[in-house]
Amino acid sequence: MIEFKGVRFRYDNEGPEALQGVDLEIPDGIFLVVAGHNGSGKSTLSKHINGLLLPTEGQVLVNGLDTRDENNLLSIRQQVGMVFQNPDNQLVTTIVEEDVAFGPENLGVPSPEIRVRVDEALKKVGMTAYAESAAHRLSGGQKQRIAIAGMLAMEPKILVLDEATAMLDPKGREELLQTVYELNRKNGMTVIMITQYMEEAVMADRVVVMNGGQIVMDDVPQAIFSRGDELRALGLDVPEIVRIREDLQKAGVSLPLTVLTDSQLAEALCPLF
Amino acid sequence: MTDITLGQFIPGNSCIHRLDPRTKIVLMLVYIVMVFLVKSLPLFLVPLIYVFLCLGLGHISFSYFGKAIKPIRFLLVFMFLLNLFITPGDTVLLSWKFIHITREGLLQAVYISLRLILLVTGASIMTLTTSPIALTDGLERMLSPLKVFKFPAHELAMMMTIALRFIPTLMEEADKIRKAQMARGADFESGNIIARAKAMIPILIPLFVSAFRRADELAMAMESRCYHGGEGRTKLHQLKLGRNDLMAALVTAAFLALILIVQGLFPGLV
Amino acid sequence: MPIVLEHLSHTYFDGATSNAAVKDVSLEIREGEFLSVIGHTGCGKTTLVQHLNGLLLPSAGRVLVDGLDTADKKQRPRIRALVGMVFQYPEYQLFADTVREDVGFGPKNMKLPEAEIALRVSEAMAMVGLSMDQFAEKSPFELSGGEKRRAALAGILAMRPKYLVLDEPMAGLDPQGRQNILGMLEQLRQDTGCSIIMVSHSMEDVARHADRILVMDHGEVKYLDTPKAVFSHSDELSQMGLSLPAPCRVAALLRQKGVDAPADICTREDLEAFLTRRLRS
Repeated sequence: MIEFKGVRFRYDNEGPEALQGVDLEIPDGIFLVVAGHNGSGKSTLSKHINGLLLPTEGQVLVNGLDTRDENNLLSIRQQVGMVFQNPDNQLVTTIVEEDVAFGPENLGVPSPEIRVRVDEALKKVGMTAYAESAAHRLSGGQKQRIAIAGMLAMEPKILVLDEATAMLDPKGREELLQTVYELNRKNGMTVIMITQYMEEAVMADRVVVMNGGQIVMDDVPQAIFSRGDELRALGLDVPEIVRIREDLQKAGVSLPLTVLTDSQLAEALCPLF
Repeated sequence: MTDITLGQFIPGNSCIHRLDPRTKIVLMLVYIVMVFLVKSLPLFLVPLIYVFLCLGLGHISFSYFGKAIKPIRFLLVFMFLLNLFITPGDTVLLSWKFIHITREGLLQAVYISLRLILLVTGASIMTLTTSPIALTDGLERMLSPLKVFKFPAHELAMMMTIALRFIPTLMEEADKIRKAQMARGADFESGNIIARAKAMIPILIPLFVSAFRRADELAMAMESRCYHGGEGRTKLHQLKLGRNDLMAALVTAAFLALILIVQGLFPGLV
Repeated sequence: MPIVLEHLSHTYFDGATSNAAVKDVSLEIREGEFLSVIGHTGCGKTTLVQHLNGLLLPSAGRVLVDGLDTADKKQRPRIRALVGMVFQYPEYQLFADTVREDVGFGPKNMKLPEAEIALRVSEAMAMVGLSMDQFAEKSPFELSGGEKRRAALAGILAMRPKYLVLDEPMAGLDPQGRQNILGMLEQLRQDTGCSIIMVSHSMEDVARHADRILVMDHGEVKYLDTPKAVFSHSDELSQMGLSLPAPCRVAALLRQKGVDAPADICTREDLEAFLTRRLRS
């Protein structure tokens, strides 16, 4: 479990507060999406989870470990895998399997076990065939999956994706989301996904919307997407399907709020014909 | 750029590929000594056979012998001519106006050329059969005794690893920025040297800015992956000396011994 | 006059292997049109658009921009002024000390007089919504992500291109930022009549804004037609690994369930009009 308790943060002494009192509890095994426009504080929030940033005020606890205690950091970072936005800037070595091994190597895992972990991690993200490839020759989506494998090899309990889909093409994005979704459903990994694409919030268990360094909404996707006008006022949007549902509602065709995807919409429309 | 073989790596599983990188580095040094010890023409066959033996055992096409030499062909010609003309000697073979070619000069020129060829091909074989990461690992391990004197062996190896990883990325990026500025009418081809150097600014500044941004993000990613220096670090690929390495050392020693013995027995051999 | 591609092919050589990225493409890009180029990564669309201003030259065939051949080195400065090219993440090409200087880089390379450069800089900055007072003397590296993107765009607009080529201009922006850029492009086309050639992965945007869509697959032109016509090939597009706009997908699903949704539904409005018409009656 991750707990934010009254977290405030500023990047420098004069600047504005990037986090203005955040209280948040993230239970184990959840798929949580944190949404917000650029500068809403969502990335600042994510970097608090593994102690890359430390709260100016308040505290962050990861499975009970306080990120402000330097002795906890290694253990916290082993438990929290973090994937960043730019696929090019998080792979450390040229060859894929050596990169995946980087985390466990740092943790001092014995060589034979690293081998096992690397193979397993590559299998989980479906990249076994690329173990000996040069990292820079892969597509963006493949690089991000290697980055995830690099985290899995540390055997974390929590996976944080900090706008990890932002630079990918639709295919790469789809593959990444599928990989993450499976890790959550099959392996019970806690997934925290930071994004500005509301389509990605559809499959979440819970969505937190940030604005001005504060949490302004915190609910299940269906409830969040029923507040389309508020979202747009926050510089966000609703998925196209939800937009269509809104418009139909205005035109007198009422559909249930649980309609979030194309197949759900088609399903709901069919009986009306 | 693509036809430079020195520094390229061809993945494989031959007995040369499987040698410990430390063995290869040490044997490379022995080989260099071997090449410089040879002082007679027929004996150059010994390192030459050694090189072809390595090519064969490493399953590398013999055409790489030619590919390795190609980039240095002008240097070769230059060194050959330089030694041919400037080496003093008694036995004049040819004398025309101010040009004097002596027997000693000719021999010297041939020796130098052969040595250059042998060194470049030898070094190419090492990089062709050793992944960059294995090479840096090997260097790190060989230099680690120097840590006692505060020599940053791990840091050095990590820097090399990261450099190797990011060179292709930055080359790609430089090309993209160059195209973007050309689309804005930038001209990198005309004008004198100063004008051309100035024209590079719109490429270099974005490239530096981006390199710093990348460095920043990479540092964050490495920290997130529990990187905390070389202490207590393990490795995916453990370096272990085996029978293979012993064999290689013995064979190399035999070649070296052959040269020493022949030259010792026949000191006047040319 | 249009941009004309005649039997354009482009082959990359990488040591021993060659890779045909564009194969025998002939087409015409009309004055003032909004043309979207779609296709999955590696289909040759980036290679294709880099031919439009002579950054890449044809291995075979030719490219004529208003009658000027891109292979002719002497014409290239004129061609590059006619065809503005905005790369992916254009903010990474910003380099000058001030935004004013950076935006003026293109016009300066065109060897325009100082007064004209100043005029074009302020015009271009107004178009992208960056006020001169606030931004002209700032360092481009101090701007926010969205502002950088707009400054980089202004750098191209200041050359007053007749054809504006954009490679994923909205990539990485938040919904607000995406809408800003799209709105700006529409406005630009209205005000100046320039053609817009946009490479994009966002099918909803493409369906809504493009006059014509060029679909590339394995270096060849698969379709070049209106959005309605292109997106009616829903099965073929899916096979190529391309997603359809959400309204298209819903219409296709409805058809599967026996509802007679027309094949040319491609925007939200199309779908909503069909649904309300059918469900009211």
